[in-house]
Amino acid sequence: MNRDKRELLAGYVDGELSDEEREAFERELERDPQLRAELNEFRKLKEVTGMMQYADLPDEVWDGYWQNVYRKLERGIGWILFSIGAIVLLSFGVYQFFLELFSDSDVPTIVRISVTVLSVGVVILLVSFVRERLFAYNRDRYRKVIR
Amino acid sequence: MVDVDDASYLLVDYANPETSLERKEIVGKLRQALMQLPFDDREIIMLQHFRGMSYDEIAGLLGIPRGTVMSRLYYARRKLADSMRQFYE
Repeated sequence: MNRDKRELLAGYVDGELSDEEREAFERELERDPQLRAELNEFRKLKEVTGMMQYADLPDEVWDGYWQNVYRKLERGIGWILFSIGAIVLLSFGVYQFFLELFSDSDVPTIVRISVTVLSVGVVILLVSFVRERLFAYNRDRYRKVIR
Repeated sequence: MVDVDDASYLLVDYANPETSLERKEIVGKLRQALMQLPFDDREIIMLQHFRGMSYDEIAGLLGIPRGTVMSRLYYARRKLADSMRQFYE
């Protein structure tokens, strides 16, 4: 037999084998009592599953599903637009702040140095935080689990 | 909210109301066993047993060779049969 016995067993139960495959499988069945036992088991399983049928989803289930999809879509778009606006405004504000800070001769040097040091510290902390989160995310075996 | 992945409520015993208690028990156990299968196994069982799709149709739908359909069906049934053994022995 070219195909694996187990593949043929599935096909035999479902009547999906060609004549040649079926004959080869039946010869194998005569030789192998374990295969016969497994065939009986699968036939009984098919009989049991035959007691059930697949019902179509009720309309209210689909309504709930699509409402959820639309809600997620709306909120997703809202958050994206909000984030883009916030990032642009924040970047512009930071740029203007540093421009003023370094172009205004009235600002004492100690303040300029302090703000620069503070800014570098914030950037380092941010990078460190992001790196740690990425590290933890890549090793989290349960990240695909929906809580 | 409806969890569309939990399809247990979609499987119904169509032979009520005179269904025997024993049969109800078997169907309940089958539903439970199906929901405990990994998604790929449950999917192939659903398509073949409950949707009545042919191997060629399943292969086309899932984009896998016909031999893989047979092989996946075998292993999915093996797991399901192991869960159900006590009920049809």
